[in-house]
Amino acid sequence: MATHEGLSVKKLGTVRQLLPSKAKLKCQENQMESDFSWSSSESDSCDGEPSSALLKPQTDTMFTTRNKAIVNSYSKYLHMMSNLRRDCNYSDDEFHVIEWDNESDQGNEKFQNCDSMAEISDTDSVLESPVAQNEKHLPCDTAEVNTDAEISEYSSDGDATLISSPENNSEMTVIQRRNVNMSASDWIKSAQALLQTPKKQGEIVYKTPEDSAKKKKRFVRGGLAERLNRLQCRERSAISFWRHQYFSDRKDCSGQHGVLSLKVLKIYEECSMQIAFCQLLEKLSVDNSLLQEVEFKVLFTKATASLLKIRAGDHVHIHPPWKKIKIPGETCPVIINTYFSQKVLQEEKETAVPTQKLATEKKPPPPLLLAFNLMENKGYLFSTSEYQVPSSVTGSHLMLPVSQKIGPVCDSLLEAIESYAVTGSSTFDVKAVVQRVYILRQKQCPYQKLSKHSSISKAQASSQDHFTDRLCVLVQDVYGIFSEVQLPFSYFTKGSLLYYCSKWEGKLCILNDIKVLQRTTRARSAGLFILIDSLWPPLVPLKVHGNSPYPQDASMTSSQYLYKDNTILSAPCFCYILSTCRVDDAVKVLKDTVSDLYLPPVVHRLREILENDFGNRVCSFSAFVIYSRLQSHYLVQNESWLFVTDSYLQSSNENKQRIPRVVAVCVTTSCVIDAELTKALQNSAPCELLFKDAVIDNGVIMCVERTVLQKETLPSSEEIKSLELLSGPLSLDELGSTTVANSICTVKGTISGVDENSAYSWPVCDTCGNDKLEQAQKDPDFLFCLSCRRVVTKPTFKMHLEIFLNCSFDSQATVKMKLHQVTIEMLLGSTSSNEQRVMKWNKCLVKSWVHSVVSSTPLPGNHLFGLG
Amino acid sequence: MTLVLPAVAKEILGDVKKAYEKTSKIPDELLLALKFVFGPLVLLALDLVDQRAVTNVTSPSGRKVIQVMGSSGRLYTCYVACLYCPCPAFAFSVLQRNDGLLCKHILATLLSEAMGLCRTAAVSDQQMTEILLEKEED
Repeated sequence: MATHEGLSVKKLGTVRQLLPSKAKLKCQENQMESDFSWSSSESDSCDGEPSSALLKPQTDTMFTTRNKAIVNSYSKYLHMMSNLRRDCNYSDDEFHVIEWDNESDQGNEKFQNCDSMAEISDTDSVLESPVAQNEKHLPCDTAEVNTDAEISEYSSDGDATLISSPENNSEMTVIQRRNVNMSASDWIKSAQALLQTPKKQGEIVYKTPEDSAKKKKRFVRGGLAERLNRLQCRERSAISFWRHQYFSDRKDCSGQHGVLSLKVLKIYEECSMQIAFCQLLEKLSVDNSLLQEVEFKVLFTKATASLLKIRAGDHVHIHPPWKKIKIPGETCPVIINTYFSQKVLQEEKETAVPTQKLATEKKPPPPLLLAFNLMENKGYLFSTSEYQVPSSVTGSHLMLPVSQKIGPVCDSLLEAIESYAVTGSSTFDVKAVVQRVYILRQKQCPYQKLSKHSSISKAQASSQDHFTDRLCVLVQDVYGIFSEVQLPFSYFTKGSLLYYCSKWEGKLCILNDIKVLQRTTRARSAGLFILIDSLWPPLVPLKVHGNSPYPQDASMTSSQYLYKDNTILSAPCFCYILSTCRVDDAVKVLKDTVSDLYLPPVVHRLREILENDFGNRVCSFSAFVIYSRLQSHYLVQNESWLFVTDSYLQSSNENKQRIPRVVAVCVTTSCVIDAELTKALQNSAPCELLFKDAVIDNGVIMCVERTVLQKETLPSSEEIKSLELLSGPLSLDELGSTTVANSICTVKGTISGVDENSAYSWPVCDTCGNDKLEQAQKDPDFLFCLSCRRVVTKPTFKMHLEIFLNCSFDSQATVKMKLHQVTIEMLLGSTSSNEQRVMKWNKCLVKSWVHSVVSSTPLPGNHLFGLG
Repeated sequence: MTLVLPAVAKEILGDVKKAYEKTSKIPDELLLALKFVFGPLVLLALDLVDQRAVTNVTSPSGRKVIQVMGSSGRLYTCYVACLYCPCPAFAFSVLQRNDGLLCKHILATLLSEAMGLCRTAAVSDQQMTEILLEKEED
């Protein structure tokens, strides 16, 4: 029996072969038809070579029984083939990206080769339904095989599955299934498609078919892949031609134009590419304009390197077309496209060269965190210009443009935070508009006191106050995200709040060396969000991520911004609390002009605030402070009060009882007032203040933690008017039935009596006013002042006096007034004696602060007013 | 010693981007340079780019991922800030054998990004969570 030449199957059943040679398969029909025996090897062993296959036609039953074995053996065969592929020494010219099912996508992905001659069709149908074979075609109709590569496949449940490889111009056929009742002749015919003798053992050379354009897998017409494919083919032909020419002829090419003559100093492997550090030997052959450097890093593909067997100390010639790439930040340029390289053999015998293969040093794999910086501008993807890799991580592995802050800073807070979290860098920079600058009073946390001298710090901590004031800025990036940045304490030494406000507020700044402290939400920081709500919605359209990431020109066009309808744009529900430890230039102003995004505080009039319901929002207003009851020491957990008025309230002619002439503003302990301002207020000097971002709570204006009180600096026409008003007597509401506690009013009445129980007087030193007086030792009649250390001969007397008044507005009401020294003196006249003085004045008009209104009966009447 | 290959890759990709921005074309020279550095992946990656298989997916929370439609129809989720792909080819050639820097999906992403040929899609936070958690679809 004639054996079909070169045909054998290793396994009965499904066989997949990659066939190497270019020999044509002749249709030996005559031979086929004659008797021939097919021997089958049922071994599952992988002998690593596509040896000739012999197929023995078996009976149907036998095929059926072996069906399952086929499936198993098939997968094993695939595994074998993959091993085979690994072991083969591929030449550079062939591209074998054979993605086997086991090694590549488990899904339905078709096998893809670039240009290899191995045409492997979809095997999914084999794997998934090896038994059920629905489509049955006669394969041999298409089996005019003139191919280099082919896959043949048999399944032995009686069906012969044959895939014929494509001819030069034919399409690859899919797996075709045969009928169960296939006759022997059909078997023979199908065997026609099988290729013949493979190459010698151990070596598989894959060669490209002549025309690899037509494949089962087509590239998009006119697309980049198609173009590259064409270029590749051309390049490959050129390479093989060149190699043939130069290797066979051993031409000496040094001195030819464009040839780089290099000496390899060191070579190592990086991700299957060989990188050689080389030194230029001859400069003459290359234009000096092209090449100025002497040292290069040359990239060789694995194939080229192994073909040439490049080792350190070798001389290589690299023929054009090679390409030089300059890496920014690196001195050595890189040479690529080194297909056309040859090694110059040394003349002397290299006896010392060891015979075994010298393995080149392999570099460790680059980390997955590597991301390519592709964009100069803010990039949507891989915008790593602002990535900072900490030095501990950089080591020798990372290749990123790190630490130097070239290029623009990220203008998206979320992106900066995200990238900083991902890359593990310690800080990040971000661009944002400063919306507000204020001081936050915080309870001092123990960790802030950590220092080298812990014992000292502990002592300090115990003696010092428990509150710290921090300068903070509320910033907003162009995407609308807010964050509060806490600055280090040293900023206070350099300037006041007003200074920083004028310097930063409203400007686009770069925030340097930022760390994330926390991410807070509306529920946790209500005060912060009240302020943020007042800054929403933004005045200008916000940028939105993901919209056309590549501006065609450097300037962002308006189409880049997506302006959403205000109703859709919901207020932010989260805010980042950031901090910086940078002492200098943490906030660096980019542009001195006020940004469009800045929403300055809208300054209302007191009247508007009182008349309208501001709800739970912030408001800003300007007013004159006429009286203050400040808590001098902030350790005392009481709020302070400022009594304010403005020109409109003063000049309002309507005697509306609803709108008071003077409004009480509560200053909570969390609101920080400048020391200078506090002094001015305590001195009772009337000053006009701008209250920024105060909160209205139950009709009361409150200065809370983010409220800023600052002196009004710019005179306006209204202010001038106000000043004029203030220079004269202030008009206050009169004490009346509608007067509430904690308000200022005028009282007009007749003194009806003195509260003698609470009246007392005490001497004070006439020089220093100190009331610590002792009996002088020398002279018991006189007093000795402890503070100025002298005998007080004529002490002044201070009095505590409370009087009762009868006021005209309500005869039933009793008004009790505690008098200040000034008033007492005015009423009694100056006196140096300790005697009771007769009230000279029966009627007086006093401006007083209503301490409390005590109503003894629900009916109007018998009101007792305690005044101070 | 810093790694050379990533730097070279970055440069070439940068050149691709610049060239494409200027002329909407990639010169042959660059294509071949890409092929030299990345090997056979480039052809496959370019094929994916031609098919516009790369999508930038964003969600309202600000998260971004990239989804690449593999040639088998499977969707692979890649990430903005690191070179990772869940495909088996990546697991094998990059992670196990260190044969390369990337797989064709990642390269397709980089090329699409450089040429501005990514599709965009916006999904809800819920959907983004599912994508990130790689929820198996029934």
